[in-house]
Amino acid sequence: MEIDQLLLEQIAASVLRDMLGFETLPTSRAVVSPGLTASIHIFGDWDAVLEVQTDDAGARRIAEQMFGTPASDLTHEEISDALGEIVNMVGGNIKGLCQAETRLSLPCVGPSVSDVAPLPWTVQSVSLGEEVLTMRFRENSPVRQTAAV
Amino acid sequence: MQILIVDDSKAMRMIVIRTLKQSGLSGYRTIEASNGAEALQMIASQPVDLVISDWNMPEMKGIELLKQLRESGRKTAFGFVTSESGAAVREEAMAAGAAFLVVKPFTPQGFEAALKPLLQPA
Repeated sequence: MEIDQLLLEQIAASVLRDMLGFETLPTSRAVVSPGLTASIHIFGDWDAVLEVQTDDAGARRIAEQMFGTPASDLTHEEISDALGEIVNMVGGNIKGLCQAETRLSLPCVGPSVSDVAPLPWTVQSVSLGEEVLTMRFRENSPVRQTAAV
Repeated sequence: MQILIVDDSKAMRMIVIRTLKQSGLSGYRTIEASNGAEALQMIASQPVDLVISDWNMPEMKGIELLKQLRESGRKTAFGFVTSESGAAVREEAMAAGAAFLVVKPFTPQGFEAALKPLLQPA
């Protein structure tokens, strides 16, 4: 099942608009400074991973909008929670596109780290004004075909 | 009417509460639980008319919460707000007795359509 850059951008735009009121634009800009990465695993008859990465300013902006509270009043845990919900919603929508029997893991959020080896990720960024949110999707194994009985 | 919102994400609980307000629904107050086990304790100790639960949570998933409620004989109205959008999940939810399943991202209009029948006075 192919999840391309356009699809990643459309799903992210829908989540960020409907849930947070952000108008996003696709961008070639990348997240450059250290920040947070949220990841989620789709598993079962299809195996894939989605990561959502942003810098500290992007994470704070998303959390501000999600909580309706200035970032200065939010804890690091709350800011991580907000980014975790973004990856959860984008991942859930990707999962919903696949007809195979799959489940979604709980989201995991931590500091961004550099890849130790290049992997075949589909990467798409969207801008939230000044801030950038980058989605990275990788299919670990294709949809498993169930034999008809 | 008292609505119990169950989600391990505090951010999502706040969004659900905000969306309830934006949807124009009225005549309710909200309480919160961060997982299914905590929700069961709250339901046992105070009146709850409607449960709005996430599906995927640590400790006790939303579907397990619903099944335990029904096994205990409680007919509390129950709905899911979840990122789990597959047909199998929807079928499992409805078979267990859920009144609705709203998929994230949602809008106030979607919320109103799902919840209005449950919030109207008998």
